[in-house]
Amino acid sequence: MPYSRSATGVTPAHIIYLIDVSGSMVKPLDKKPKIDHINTAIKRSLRHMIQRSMTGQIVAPRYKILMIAYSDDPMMVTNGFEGIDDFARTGRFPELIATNGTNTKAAFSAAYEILQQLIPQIPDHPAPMVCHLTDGRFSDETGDPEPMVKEIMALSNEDGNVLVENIFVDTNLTVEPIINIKAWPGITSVSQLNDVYAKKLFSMSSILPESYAREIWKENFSLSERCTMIFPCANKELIELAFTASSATKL
Amino acid sequence: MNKDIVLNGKNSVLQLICQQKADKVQYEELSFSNLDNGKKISIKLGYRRCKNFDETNSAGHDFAIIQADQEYVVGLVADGVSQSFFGNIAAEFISKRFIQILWNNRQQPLNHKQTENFLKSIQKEAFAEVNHFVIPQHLSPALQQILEDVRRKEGSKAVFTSFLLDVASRTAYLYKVGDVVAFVQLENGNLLPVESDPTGCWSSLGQNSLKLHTEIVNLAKGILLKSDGVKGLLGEVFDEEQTAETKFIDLAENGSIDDDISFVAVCLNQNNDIQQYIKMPNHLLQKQPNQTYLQLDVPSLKEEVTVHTIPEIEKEVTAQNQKLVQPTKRSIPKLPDTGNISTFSKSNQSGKNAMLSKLIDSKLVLYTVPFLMGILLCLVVLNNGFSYSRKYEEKSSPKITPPPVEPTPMITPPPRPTTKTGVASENANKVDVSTVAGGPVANPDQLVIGKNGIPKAGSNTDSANENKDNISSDKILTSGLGANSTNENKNNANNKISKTEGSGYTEVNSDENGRLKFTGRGNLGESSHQETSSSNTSNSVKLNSHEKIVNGRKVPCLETDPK
Repeated sequence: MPYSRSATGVTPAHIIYLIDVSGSMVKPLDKKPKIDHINTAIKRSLRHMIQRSMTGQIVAPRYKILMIAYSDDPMMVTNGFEGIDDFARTGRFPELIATNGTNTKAAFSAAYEILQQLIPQIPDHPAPMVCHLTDGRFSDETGDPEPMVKEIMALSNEDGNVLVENIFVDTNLTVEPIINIKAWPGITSVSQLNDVYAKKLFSMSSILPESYAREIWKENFSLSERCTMIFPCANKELIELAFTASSATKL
Repeated sequence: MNKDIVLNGKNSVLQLICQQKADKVQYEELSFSNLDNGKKISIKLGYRRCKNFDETNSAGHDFAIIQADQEYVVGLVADGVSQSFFGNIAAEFISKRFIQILWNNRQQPLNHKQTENFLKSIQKEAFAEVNHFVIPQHLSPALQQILEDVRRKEGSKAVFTSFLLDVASRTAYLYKVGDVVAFVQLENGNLLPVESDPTGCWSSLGQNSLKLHTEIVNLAKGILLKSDGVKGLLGEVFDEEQTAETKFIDLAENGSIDDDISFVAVCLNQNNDIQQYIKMPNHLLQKQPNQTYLQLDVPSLKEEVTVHTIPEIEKEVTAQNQKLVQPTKRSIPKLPDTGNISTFSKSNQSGKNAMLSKLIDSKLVLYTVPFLMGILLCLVVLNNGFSYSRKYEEKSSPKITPPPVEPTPMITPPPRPTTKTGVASENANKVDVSTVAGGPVANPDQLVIGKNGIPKAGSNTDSANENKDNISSDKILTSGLGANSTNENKNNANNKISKTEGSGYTEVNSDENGRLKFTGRGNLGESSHQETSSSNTSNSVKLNSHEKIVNGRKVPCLETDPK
């Protein structure tokens, strides 16, 4: 059964975050700059992963996190893959600052290179995840990232293909507004999306594995199995849900 | 592992309980028998905390406990929820409370509603306990904050499965919250899994749904509870060949890296030969039946088996036993410096022997024994005389004159010892006694007579010869010396015994060659001298014509002139 491997201290789940820190991230969303929501969501997500990895005061390295912030160029925020236990021990969470352009393709290319090296080393781990967060269309001069994303999605280990999740932080992305987040079943069809770039991201997203859905249900969300891992986030609650989904590896 | 064992006859309760902070594999298995129905009850417990906890010596989040007497067994395995606030707190709390309530109500087991009410009623107490827990200050502020949030939002959580087994009826009552695995082995050998909603959970905050599952299973032969960390262990638990231990230790050594592993189990088997389960240590079985160890109070098989199944207790019992047996084994006593032998004898006897010892030790014996022996001697002489006379009469019809009645022997008590030293020896008869004139001795066997037949004064430097002499002394005493010569012989400084026989006397003197000379004089006049050798090889006594051996003693044979 795909995506059934548990994230343990011995076989941790690997997650690559690709965070768009382009200049548009300073625009407000839900009364705050988007980048603030992102920073908050990242912290919350890391804390969530710490809690999921915790037994008493012991934090098992169930997650390995690599964070790349990108604008014109991608840059590594973390020191390679860092264990979630390292975050717990140091208490150091990344703070991102919005800068210039949006070179999405470069960010995915960097992730691809990392995954090519990583995957042969983790055949029995949970399938890695690439969580991409952005607030808008990539810069035209940097090129279309989709082919690169498809290559990433073709990579696999014994647990399954690499998962790609897209978090699109903006308003009015869906045909129907998402009112009750806890009861929201997720995006299951491209027709549910309003925005052109959101539709592109839909095609760049993996299907939510059943095992992930079950873990997300434990957090009192209602994402349906087989929904697409694109999260149109118009508020902080949706961002929280999106980050929850990124760490929903089976324990 | 803590082994909290109470041995108190019929009310004895056995309890095996894990130690959450131990960094070793914990395994124990106890067996005992129900004396009423002959059922053998085996209880087992295995525990190993997650190896990740070893470095920080953190408490394991599982908890395992099993408790039994001859009629009931209760057991529980709890698994603290990892992502809650120190799930080990909830696991320990719920385990101890629930086992207690199960045990207290073992004769009227809790029903579903009562159990639910109880589990909710103790949440307040658990909440207080969790709130009092101090988060370690060495953790990073971020982690402390996370833990504080978890305490506030989640509380401490645990899942558990518990059972109560009525041994007589073989009825199992099962209580399950969450995903702790449970199997019941039925009398036909089949294993019945206890199914329930695995998402149930007990929380100190009371916010989680218990999803309590209760079940009654009849004809239960065994029960196994195990945490989800224990992979594979199943049939071995009910195996009488004790393969469960091997399997569990293997699991603990090669597993438990990422999770605690724990299980408890009970197995009922018909005990066809209860005696075979009495594991009496060999050193006890080899003792003489009248030794004190039989008073070790082994009132029930249960206590005996229990005692000798737990290594620590076994050591203790062995020590007690040695303590009890030791005096009887102490065959090489050290004589007290100034005391007399009776002190030693008294301290080394018990029961009836002690009474006898007391009597023997009493100085009264110095007077009563010779007195009784004297009377006996007279009776023998009289009887012998009549017998002999009758035979003679049949042949020659002699005129019979009864022998004179021997008066009560008067023995002068020995003088008090002036000095005495005693040294233990390992040789025959065990004791070398060196006395100065008139010193007391324990008994004839302990007397060492010098080469001249005189109790040796001073130190025992020639033990070999002394033992040889000792044997000689025995032979002398048993081969013809009169009863009245025994104690006197020992107590006289020069081995000279003065005895009155009516108006007569008998003297025993030793010459320079160790030969003893007897000189007797009675009413009938001075008897002839006789000599007997005190050497080892000489065991005969020369008799004069008017003497004969009766009952091993030389007695005068008085003949009268038939005319």
